[in-house]
Parts: sequence; structure tokens; C-alpha cells
Amino acid sequence: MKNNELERIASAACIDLTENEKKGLEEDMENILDWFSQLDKIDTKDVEPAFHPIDIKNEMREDVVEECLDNEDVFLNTENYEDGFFKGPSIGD
Amino acid sequence: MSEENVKIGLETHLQLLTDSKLFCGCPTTGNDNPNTRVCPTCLGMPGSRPRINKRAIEMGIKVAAALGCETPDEMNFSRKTYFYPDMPKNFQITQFSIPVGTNGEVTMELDSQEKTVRIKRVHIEEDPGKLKHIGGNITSSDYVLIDYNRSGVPLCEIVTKPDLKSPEEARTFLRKLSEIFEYLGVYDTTGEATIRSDANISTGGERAEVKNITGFKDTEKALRYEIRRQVNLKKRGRKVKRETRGYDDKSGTTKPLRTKEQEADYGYIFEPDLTRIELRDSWVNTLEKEIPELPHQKKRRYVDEYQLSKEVAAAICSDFDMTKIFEDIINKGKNVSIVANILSGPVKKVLNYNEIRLAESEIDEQKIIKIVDMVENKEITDRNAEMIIRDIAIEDKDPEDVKKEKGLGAVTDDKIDDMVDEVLRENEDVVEDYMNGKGEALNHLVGKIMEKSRGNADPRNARDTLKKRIEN
Amino acid sequence: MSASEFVTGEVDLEKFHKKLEKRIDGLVELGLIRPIDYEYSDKKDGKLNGLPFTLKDSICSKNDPTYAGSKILEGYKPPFDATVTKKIKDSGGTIFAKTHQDEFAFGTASTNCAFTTPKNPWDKERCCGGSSGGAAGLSAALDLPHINLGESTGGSISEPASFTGVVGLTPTYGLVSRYGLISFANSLDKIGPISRKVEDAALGLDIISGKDFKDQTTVKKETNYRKSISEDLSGMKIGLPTSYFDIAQDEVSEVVMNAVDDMRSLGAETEEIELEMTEAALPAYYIIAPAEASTNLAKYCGMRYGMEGEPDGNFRNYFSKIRGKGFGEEVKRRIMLGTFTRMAGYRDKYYLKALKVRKKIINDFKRAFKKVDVLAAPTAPMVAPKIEEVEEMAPVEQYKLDKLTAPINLAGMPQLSVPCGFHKKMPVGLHILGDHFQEEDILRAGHNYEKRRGKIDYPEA
Ligand SMILES: [Mg+2]
Ligand SMILES: [Zn+2]
Repeated sequence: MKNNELERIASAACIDLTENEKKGLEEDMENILDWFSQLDKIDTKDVEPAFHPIDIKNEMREDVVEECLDNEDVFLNTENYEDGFFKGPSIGD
Repeated sequence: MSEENVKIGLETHLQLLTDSKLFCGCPTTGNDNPNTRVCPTCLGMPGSRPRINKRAIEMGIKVAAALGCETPDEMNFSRKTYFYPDMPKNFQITQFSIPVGTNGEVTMELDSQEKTVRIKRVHIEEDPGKLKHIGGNITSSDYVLIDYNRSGVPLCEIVTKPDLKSPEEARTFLRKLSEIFEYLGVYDTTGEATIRSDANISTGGERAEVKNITGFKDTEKALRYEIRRQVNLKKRGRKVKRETRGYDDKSGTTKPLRTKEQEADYGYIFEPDLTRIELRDSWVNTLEKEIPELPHQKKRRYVDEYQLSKEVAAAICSDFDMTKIFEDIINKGKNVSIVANILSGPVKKVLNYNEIRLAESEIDEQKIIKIVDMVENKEITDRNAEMIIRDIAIEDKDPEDVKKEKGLGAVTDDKIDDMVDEVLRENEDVVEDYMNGKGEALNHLVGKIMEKSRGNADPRNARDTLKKRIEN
Repeated sequence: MSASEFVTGEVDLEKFHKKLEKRIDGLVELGLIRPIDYEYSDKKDGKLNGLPFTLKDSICSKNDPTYAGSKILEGYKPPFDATVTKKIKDSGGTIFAKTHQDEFAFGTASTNCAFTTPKNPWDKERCCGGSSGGAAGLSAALDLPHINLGESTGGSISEPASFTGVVGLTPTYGLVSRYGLISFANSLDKIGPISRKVEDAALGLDIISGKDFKDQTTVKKETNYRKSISEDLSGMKIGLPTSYFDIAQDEVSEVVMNAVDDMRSLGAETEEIELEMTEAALPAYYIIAPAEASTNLAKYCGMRYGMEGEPDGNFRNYFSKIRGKGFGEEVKRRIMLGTFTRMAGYRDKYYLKALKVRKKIINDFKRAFKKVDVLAAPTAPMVAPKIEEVEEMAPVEQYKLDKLTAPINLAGMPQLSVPCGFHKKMPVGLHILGDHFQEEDILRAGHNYEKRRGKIDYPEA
């Protein structure tokens, strides 16, 4: 795995890594990916992927309105709110 | 704009008209105070789960069928992961590998020519929340405020092939799309529901994607700007870059997005909290039977069956509620051409002026019938009809009352004769102009009669009488 | 007294509550629980008679601190009850603590906990196993009637139960609602009871199982697990997966074989079974689980709940900073891994491939269960290692502690770990595996074996 690959993954995962962490992760991930490669030998031609372990289908809900969360519970776990809105970081640089 | 090589593809999102959100029971409309229509699921709280709304799926199936799409035997939902402050889970539940519809088409009329736009796919997905940029604009704000009331509202996304040739075509296409949705009863054209698009535009070279355009007008504007930008680049000998741009509705311009957002790798996986959905034939067939006559079919029938002109038929068919009133009234045996003319003429004009749809006005079937009767019985003129409609569109008033209140009423032929006498006497010089071959002088005289009659005279009748009297 | 006896018997509740109260500090000291504010349930009509319960830290209970073992959720109070929590409350159970676990359940030894590392009551230098380590350790340490709810994604109930000498029941995927469970990997996560006795695990499952409107992956099954366990073992066919016995340390396999002999003496028939996909399961699991987990963990970004800062600057910088700070080492590793294996260009090679391998693993088990009623094997390849030893292991070596539990978890089939002896004075687990929704079979096998085995002398804790 190339160094910029790790950067690309970290960027997609939106996570800051220290130089030390990067070094460790690079080694770990290479080992792990290497270990994964044993799956290449398994013939999965004509095998459907199993998204779930059991066969479940067509579970749906009727279009019925239910109760919403109490407003005080909405902001119970944050200090970042203002005038009924959540507060968040900006889009620009 | 007549650029030869313009190719536009649209990815358009329309809100599906369900009572509750796509994955939770929060209402889609109601309390507009921020973050009042939210729950653990649409706030993406730890431990919450999506629960899919059957009605949204059924609406998606209908849209796919109405657009002539192929429906899969089975479909599923996926997680599209990317980070953004309006996304509670930092992934959107959408359809990826198997959407509800593929390979359809929309036929629309352009300069009285039929044109077909190919539809690549139709899928169902959830809407994110709404951002407010504080202390600056989208790129310069200090922080954002987020209202998640919209989070989880069901959207139907329609992706076209790059078949659109101009901003005008794109706009017509969007109108057509919203008409079809309205006919299907899956879309609310009157509410705050908006139509949002991302557009792919090329002018011969690389294509650029412009994200986040809201509404018909802005789509046309954004596309116009982007085409001009690309053409100008080429004129200056520079190449169009393949990139993702954002539309800024305040400046009417498009700007490149940050590279990180352009390179987004969504890392799609199957949504493991939902099950696969088998689209059994019996289910799909039942839904397909519920699909009503669609706008282009209805228009064709109006022309064939009622001998309406294409324009009149198109005007009525562009508002589904109007077609209902039209059909109801003529089923009661009223004069087809009078009904059609009133609806496609003055009613449409007044609605457009007020920028509302029929359903948002106070006009209803009973009121239209009264007006039709008055016109048919020659109690009022067409112009009177328009004056009454202007009054009853916004306020709930009775057409009879308005007629009385305004002193409206068609003038008898005797009265017209008298007025013509007077006008001819008072405007001898204009009469002479007309006799000397100045045709438009007659309009002036007709105007005088309309003035005298306070609009109650039938202008055509006035014109005929004037002509007869002058020429004899 | 067992939990089952507690709920049916005459109990001086006041005296009992005082006894439990006295034990709490000791349990905290072992790093097993974080007590919550609680009141004893006085639900007279409740079936549970006030029976004490604990919840793994990733199971939500309204207004109680619920951190999923992570700093990024420190201080978080869910505004709602998980369905299992509600069911316990409605049945008159008393929830008195959250049990410590690996951060977001990413671990096989509970050595990846952000707050404390649970110590094994049998040997405090050893780990409890993971990720439901606190829950398993608690059952070993607490000699009062109780039931703990754990959660297993790849073996996180069975393996710690084996390491601490208690009973762990992992139900079929979809039998118990996951609503209110802080997700690790949604297509694998299963909530299940941990206790000292099989009958108590059955009681726990009776309380928490059932179709739930709030979790669309749940399945409707009407059963009475506690009733079904008493039937004897005559005629039961038990398969012995040879590869599992090969993988486990010889001494461990030997202990388990003795347990199998006991079951044979109770009338069960045994037969060797070849499971072809045993080796492939662990890598497939470590692709699927992190792929799903990395999307589940995207939501922790310093907004709305959990660790936060002043939201200034660009959102990507802010999110990255909080996530860099709030997640522990193993969590970062799995987020990175899971993000990678589902990226365009790699998705087919890893994510989709692993899902197909999962299909083959399911088929592998289905074939076996055509021949036999249940499978019996060692739960873990070894006894609980020392905490220090685990901390020195490379990630892949740690992952291998799940080698025998990963396949059945990928298949979403039920499993029961029952203590069956000792090696190096540490408990060994007998793993009984069943086909989808055949909980009755594994509970019956476990219960009969347990009766035959007799009492275990748990350490004074
Ligand atoms: Mg979309
Ligand atoms: Zn909601």
C-alpha cells in the first residue's frame, strides 16, 4: 500500500492521524490485507452475496405519522445549538 | 442559446408526497419550527434504525412505470457515505446497484415538436437537513445552523441521459417531470416542495457537473451561465476541466467545489438495517393499474375528443386539478369550448399572475360553472369573466356578487348601437384616418366603446358594428 | 439461587437488594461495570420480580450514560430505551449497571476499552475476553441471581463466556431486536443473555426475543425457551467439526471432548463433521464487519451528541480532529480497514467477495445441520490469556481468538457456550451450535450437559 493510499482512506474516513499512527496503520493494514488475500483462492463464481445471514424480505412500514422527539431531548446531548438549530462547522475553508 | 454541441444530463430530485418520512414516523409537513419534526432515526442517533415507508416505495414504482422504466424483480437500499453537516449519519440511504426503475423515457413537446428524453434510472432516497450559513455565504460563513426537519423526507431521483440540448429544453423537461409526478398524485406542486437538480453539462469537450440547483428558473439560469462559461473558455483557447461545481443562486454563477468533495468516494455498501424488497408482479401490476391518464395522453385525447387546439389542451393539462374541473364540468353537459376557453384563458392567466396553482386558489368547480353559464347566456363578456376571476381567485367570493358589485353585464345590441353612434360623432378625425386606410384606427374606436360600456361590451361585437356603420 | 428460581420463588426483596448493593463496589473495582442510577422495579405484575439485569454499554437505556466503551460517546444519554431495555423494564426487571466492553465492541479480549479493562475473576492478570467482557466477568463474579445482556458480532458473547466460565447465549440473527443497540456491524450484531446457568439464559431470551416494529430485520417466532430445555438428550445427533478441534489447543480440545462424552452418556449420538469454510470465515468476517462498522461510526463527528468542540473552521477539519481525538487505536484501524475494503475499485475484491464467502459459509453449516441437530466444539482455541499478552499481540493474532466463533456468527446461527472444565486453572467453554432458530436444541443440549456436569466453584470475588 502506497503512502498516499493511506492519506486517501483517512480523508474518505474523515479522521486525523498522527505520523506515528500512520506508520503503525500502514504496517497493520498491509498485514491484514495480506491475510485477506487467502479469500482469492475461494471459488465464488455463481455464488450470490449474503447481505443478511437469514432470508428476510419486504419488511416495510405503513405511512403513518408517529410521535417526534421532545424538543428538550433533541438538544440533551450537545451544547452546540442556537435558536432551535443545531450548530455545526462551516462549509467553506 | 443555440450552441450546437451542448449536451445536458440532469439528476433531478422531487419530494414524494408521503405523510411520514422515508425511514421514520416523523411528519413531512406541519410544525416549521426547526428541529421539531425529528426523532432518533432522522437525527442519526446511536442505536436508531431506519424503517422503510411502504408508500414511498409504491410511489417510486408508479413513477418508474409512468416513465416507461424497467422494474427489477428485487431491489435494495445502500449506504452512500460522505461527510457533511446536514447529514445526520454521514451517510445517505439511497439506491445504488438496483434502483426501482431503469431505461425509461419522457416525451415532451418543444416548439410543437415531440422530443424524447431518455431516463437512465429512477431511485428513492432520503433528503438531508437544511443548512443556514451564519456570518457569510456558503463558502465564507463562520458556522452553520442546521434544521433536520427535512432530514429523511423521501425523494425520488430521476437521472436522464445527456439528451437535453439547451437550458430551455432542460426547463421544459423539469416542468414535464413535475406534471407527471402531479398526475401520479405523488408530488405536491403547491407546497414548499421544490425540484432540485444536479446537471452535467458539456459543450463539446469535457463535462462539468453543477450541483445543487433549485427550481425551474434557476436551472435555466445556472445552465445558461455554465454554457457561457465553457464557450468563453474555449474562445480563449482554454480547455474545460472535468470538475464538480456548485451553483450560487445569489450571484447566479457556478464555482468549483473543494477538491476533497470532488473526489468523494462513497464506498457504497448494502444497507443492513433494511431487507431486500421483492417487487412481485401482483404488487407492481396493482400499482400500475392505479396510474392515471398521463399529461401527454390527456392532451392528445382533449385534442381528438373535444377538438381543442393543442395550445388550449396543453394549458389545461399543465395543471392536474384544472383537468379534473374541466372534465367534471363538461360531463355536466356544458359547452366545451366555453369551458375550455375560460380555463385556458382568463383562469390560467390570473393563476400565473399570482404564481399559484389552481388548488391554491379559491376557484372551484361551482364558481367556474356560474361563470360559464353567464358567458353562455351572454350575461357577461369574456373580459367581464376575467375581471370576475381576478376577484374570486384569491378571496372566496361568489361570481354573481362580484358581477353585481362591479356592475358588470353584457350590453344589449341596442345599447351598442347607441354607443357606436356617440363614438363616431365624437371622433370624426379618427374615423377619417380609418377611411384613409389606417386600419389600427379602428382599435382606438373599439377602445372608446369599451370605455363607455365600462368593459361590458363585447369587443368583437363593437368592432363589427363600427366597421359596418363606417363602411356603409 | 438462580435467576429462574428468583423469579418464581419467595424472595425477601429488601434483603436481596442490600446484598447486591454491597457487591457493587467490588464489581466496579474489577473493571466490570459502571453502575447507573436505578430503583428496584416494583412492578407487581412483572414476571421478573425485580430481577437484576445489566446491559452491555452499547445497549441504550433512556437517560442512562451509554458510551459503547468509547470516549467519543462519553457523557452520552440516549433519549430512548432500546427494545430489549424496554422489555426488561416492562417485565419487572431492574437494570442496575452498564458493563464495560471493547470500544464499539471492537475486540476479543476487552483490552480495547476506553475506560477500564475488565479483569477476569478467576485470575485478575487475565482478560475476560471480548467484547462483552464486563458482562461475562460479572456473571463469574456475582453469586446473586441476575442476567446480563451482551452483544455478539463475531463471537463477543461466547468467547468471553468461555474465558470466564459462564453461560453465553447468542441467538439467531433477527430473533432479538437491535433497536437501541449502538451498532457495530448491523448484519451481524445480536443481543443475547449471559448468566451462570443455561436456564437463566433461556429465561433471558424469553424476555428479550420477538418481532419488533422498530427493527425491520427481526423475525416473528413464538416460543417458550425455558420450557423447552428440560427434555432429555436421547436421540439427539451432535456433530463434531473436526477442524475446530484441530484449531484449538490440544488440552482445550481434550476438555471439550470429555464434555462430549458426557453428552453421549446422556443418550446423544455423535458424528464427525467436515466444515470446509472454517479457515475462510475469519478474514471474511474482518472484511464485512469493519466495512459496515466504518459507516456506522461516520455519525460520530462532534455534532449533536458525544465529544464536541467549538464548531469553527471547515467541517472536514473539525470532524477529522474530533474523530482523531475521540476514537481509540483499534477503532481507527477498523475504520480505515472498513473504508478501504468498500472503496470503488476494491469493493468487489473485498466487500462483495466476503459476502459471497459468507454465503458459502452459511451453506456449509446448512449442509451440516441436515445431518445433525447441533454441533459441539471448543468455544475458543485457548483459555483466557493474560492482559499483558493480549496487548503485545499483533492485530491479526488478536483477531484469531475469534477463529472458532466467527464462522457461526457470519452464518447468523445460534450458539451457546457452557463452561465444561479447566485448563491451567482457567475455564474452558463447550460451544453448542444450532441451525437458524433452533435455539431450543442448543439450550436443551446445554442444560442437560450442565446438570450432568454439576456445580462450578466460582472464585470469591
Ligand atoms: Mg441523489
Ligand atoms: Zn424522524
